[in-house]
Amino acid sequence: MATQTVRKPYVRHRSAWWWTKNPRYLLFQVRELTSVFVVAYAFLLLWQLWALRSGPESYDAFLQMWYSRPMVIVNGIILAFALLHSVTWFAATTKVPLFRIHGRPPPVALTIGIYVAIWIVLSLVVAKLLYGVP
Amino acid sequence: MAGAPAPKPASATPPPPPRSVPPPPPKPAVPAPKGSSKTIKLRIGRYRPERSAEPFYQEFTIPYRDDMVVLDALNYIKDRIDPTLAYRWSCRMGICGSCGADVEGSPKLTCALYLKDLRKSPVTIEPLANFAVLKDLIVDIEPFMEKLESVNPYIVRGDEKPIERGEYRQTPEELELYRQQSLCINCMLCYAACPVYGHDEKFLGPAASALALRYEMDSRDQGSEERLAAVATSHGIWQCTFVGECSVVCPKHVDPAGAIQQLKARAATRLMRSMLLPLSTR
Amino acid sequence: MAERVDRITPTFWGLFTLGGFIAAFLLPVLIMMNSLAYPLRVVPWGAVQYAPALGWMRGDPVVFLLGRSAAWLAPWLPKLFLVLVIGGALFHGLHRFKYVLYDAGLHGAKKVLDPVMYGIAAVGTAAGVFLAFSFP
Ligand code: SF4
Ligand code: FES
Repeated sequence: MATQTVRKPYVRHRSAWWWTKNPRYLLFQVRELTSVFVVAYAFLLLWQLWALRSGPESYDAFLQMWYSRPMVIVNGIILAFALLHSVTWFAATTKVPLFRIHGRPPPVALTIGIYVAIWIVLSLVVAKLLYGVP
Repeated sequence: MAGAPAPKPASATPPPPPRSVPPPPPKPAVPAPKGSSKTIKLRIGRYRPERSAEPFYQEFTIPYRDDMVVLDALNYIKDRIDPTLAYRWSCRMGICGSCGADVEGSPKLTCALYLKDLRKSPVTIEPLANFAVLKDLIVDIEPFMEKLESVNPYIVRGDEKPIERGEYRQTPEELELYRQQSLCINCMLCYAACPVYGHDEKFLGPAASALALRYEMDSRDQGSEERLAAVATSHGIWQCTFVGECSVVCPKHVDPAGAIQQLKARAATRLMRSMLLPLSTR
Repeated sequence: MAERVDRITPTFWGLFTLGGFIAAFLLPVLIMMNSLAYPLRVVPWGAVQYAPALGWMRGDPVVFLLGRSAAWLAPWLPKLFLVLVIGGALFHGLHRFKYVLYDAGLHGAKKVLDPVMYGIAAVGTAAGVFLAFSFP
């Protein structure tokens, strides 16, 4: 545009601490950080596979490490974040309705209920099928 | 809209001495609105580019009644204390979308927030976060308008049928598919709540994405291909990390965060289909 | 908008979403069984040794439950399961972590971050496939 402007827009920048501004932002950051633990466990599994594949001695050494107190604590922390991932993931994915009832998305509680039911069944099946527990 | 930025310092305003900073202290002893006995202290973010390069805060203590909203307080200040205070408003009933401001750090429609519900003292009122400030509480809405325009926000027809054949009809179910997204009042609160937009000013952002989905879901529309292309650019929907705060602050329950996720799913399935069936879709 | 349409991101977003579901549904039970069942004494020490672990990889716990006609599936199930979990977790987690890094200020580094993150995910998944399916 040719018109002259006397505007002097004042541009503000996002603070590096924006995520401390409210609890939802904080939960978001924690949710995003679950990715670190999810990836970490994938690498631990690769390590375990490697050790198992290399024979009894190397797997024994692996188990020494795996069931040492610090590692159990680490695994506990990873489990906590994995659970947080599951819960936040089920909540987040309700945003894309899988089906509609008269044009309306199903109630969020129903979708989450379906997810949790599948989750429990799958967990039991895996525990039973692959580990014989319970 | 009250207080659009004047091209030069308005000479009609009472003569505050030409100083740069700091602002004049609030003037006491103001006649109270009828029936009020309580007072509230407001700390208002101000920016007067013709006087100083930096924004500053100015405190006002005003009497109020329980039925007053933040916008009433701003009007009270402008009418009786400081006529230079600039802010936007029009409908004062939550439908024009022009009165947004950050109150205590969260974006609100000032016409829909009661003073009696504010706990803190003073209550900080600032221009909507993430936008460039033009004057006091007035932010630059032009980038937002450009974003709205960029998503082809109109019904696109490949085959236009002749007028004699009548209108394009929709069932209530078909209307329901996009009704929620069509309720947006362009108040920009969602942009003020979006840390991704705060980080990347080119980010398409919540409301424009919701607007795109509104036309995507319209049974009469046939412009999906171009529209999805328009929202799937490098500053488009894929920048969204689903913080979700936009949907929390939206006064019209448009759920722009959900809209973006739906657009992502549509764009991804469309791409997958075009990769699997390269001939049929392209 | 004259900008080029992004075709890479939707592809990896699809993997991110798929992996997100896999991790959400399967990771907790796997961590529970594989890492914490013994410390919590849900299973005895004997059950986590080399021999039973190798048997696990060969599908021993499944074989009794599958029945005769499906017994051939047994050695494949644990391996498929592991590859799914490892690949899903990597593609999910590294995509999400990429955005964490963007947000932390590496926004300009998209050209580097994309190949690095998805490269790690692909290599890790390939390693999982190799390790799982090449058992002695
Ligand atoms: S989506 Fe909601 S918050 Fe955003 S501009 Fe529209 S009405 Fe306002
Ligand atoms: S004045 Fe119109 S929405 Fe507040």
